[in-house]
Amino acid sequence: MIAVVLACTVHMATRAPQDAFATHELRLEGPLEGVSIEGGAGWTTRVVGELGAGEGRTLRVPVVTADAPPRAAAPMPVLVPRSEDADPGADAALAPALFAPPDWDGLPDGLRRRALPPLRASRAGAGTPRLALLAAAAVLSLAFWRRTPVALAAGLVAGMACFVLPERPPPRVAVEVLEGDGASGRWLRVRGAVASLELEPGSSGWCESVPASSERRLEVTLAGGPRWSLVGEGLALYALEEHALEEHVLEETALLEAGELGGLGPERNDLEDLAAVWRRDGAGRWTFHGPWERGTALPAPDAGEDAPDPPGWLISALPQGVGISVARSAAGAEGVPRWARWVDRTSFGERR
Amino acid sequence: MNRAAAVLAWALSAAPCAAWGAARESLGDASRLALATVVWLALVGLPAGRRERRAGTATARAWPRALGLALPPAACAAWLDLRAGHAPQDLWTTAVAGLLLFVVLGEARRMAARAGGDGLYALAWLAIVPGTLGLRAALDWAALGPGEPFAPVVWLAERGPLDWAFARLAPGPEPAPWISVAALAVGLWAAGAIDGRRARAGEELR
Repeated sequence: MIAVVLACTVHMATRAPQDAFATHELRLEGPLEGVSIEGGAGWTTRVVGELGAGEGRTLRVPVVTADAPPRAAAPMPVLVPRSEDADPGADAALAPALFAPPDWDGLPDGLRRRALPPLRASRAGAGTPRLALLAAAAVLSLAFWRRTPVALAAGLVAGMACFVLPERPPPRVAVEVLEGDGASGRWLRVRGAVASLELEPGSSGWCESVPASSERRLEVTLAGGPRWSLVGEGLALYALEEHALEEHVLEETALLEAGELGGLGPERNDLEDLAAVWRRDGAGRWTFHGPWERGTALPAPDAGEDAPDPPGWLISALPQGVGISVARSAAGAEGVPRWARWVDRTSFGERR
Repeated sequence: MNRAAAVLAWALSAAPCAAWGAARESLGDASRLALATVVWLALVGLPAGRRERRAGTATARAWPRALGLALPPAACAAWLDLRAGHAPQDLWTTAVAGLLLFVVLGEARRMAARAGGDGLYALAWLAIVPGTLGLRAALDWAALGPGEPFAPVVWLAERGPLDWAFARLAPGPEPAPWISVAALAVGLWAAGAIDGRRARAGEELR
């Protein structure tokens, strides 16, 4: 157990750089059923959608680049023809990257070392139809206990039926964490989901899957307007994007523009309304402060015995000797809990 | 395998499929198919009781019926494992090797009962099926203390069918237990044959 904890700690402390995805422009000429683009680090971009003969379309697609910043030359798209014989009229051309995220190594060390939030999909149950089938097969087998062929056949048929009965879609498991760094005033927005994670079309950032399977891909769906998503059956998928604060916001906690994220120091909450906040002082003592409204100072600690503890994963692998705020946000999409972690400005003068 | 033991095994093997809430969470990512396999392997070779032998039902080939009862929970468990991301080849290994062990244990039990007595078979079953599992538990406790365990004892403990099935609980490749299957088949069939010879010798003396 100690070895596992140590291994996890070492893994978190030396996290590999994330895979950066950049926005490219892709020109398509039909007829074709889709396009596949081999990106870096085992990621594939797949454009899913049909184009008829003579139909053309230009769209933006995400492509993971092996190098950061991405090379000027874009990878070659592979056409998925509509029939077995590729139509000579079909074509696809990928332009060099329009937008690319900044260099991962250029992010503050404190942000790069944060552990990704865990995503644990609770195992699905068999469901009522399958359990009813099990019970029915058992009754039949016991009723015909002395007729071996009937009992065996009932078991075989019921066993095979277990694989073909319809199933309910699995519950969605997703989480969002705002990782803040007081020294640089930069935020990293980390979103995670199992099997499928929507991306903002036209964005750029970093992505990661756990485990790093070859089945992972970036998918662009043409139907209903281009939709971007990370896809990987059974994988925990993460998308990371950076939010930076302007210097004056850091210094004066001035009003923020829409979409900007403010600081979360004890003197003032410039982020958003928070449903529950925990604060750790430099000596390592955690206190619970209850809800914290935006624009106000940190409420007094709730010293009651019923004060909840912060989630273990949220307070692990954080730097020692500095003040830290962790919080559960009152915002966030339905079914996607949103958390925030803010490490105060350190005394080491770390600033990037 | 008599009907009562079959019903008990069915209920125990179907329970992981029916578990919900905290009970389901407590099973973690353990393979439900391996759990079902453990139950059936533990009970399919259970030596026939005196009442069963007196009634004459122990000599019938009961394992195919028990297999009919075992297949639906096992298939449901395999389906759940597949949905949870277990590798299909791992599940195939568990299913095929588990089925082989099931047949060997069931057939050895029937042979011993048909031979007219199952004293030696009962001892062999006790040693090979629950015995090796107990040996493994003892070795695990012993590992907490100083010194190395005796190598042949470790080898024997690792060849038990239940120990193999428990090892399949954790997802990941595990070599199929061909040595266990062969040792089990030879050991239990030999026990059944010796039982039969002793029973015939006893009849001749009478």
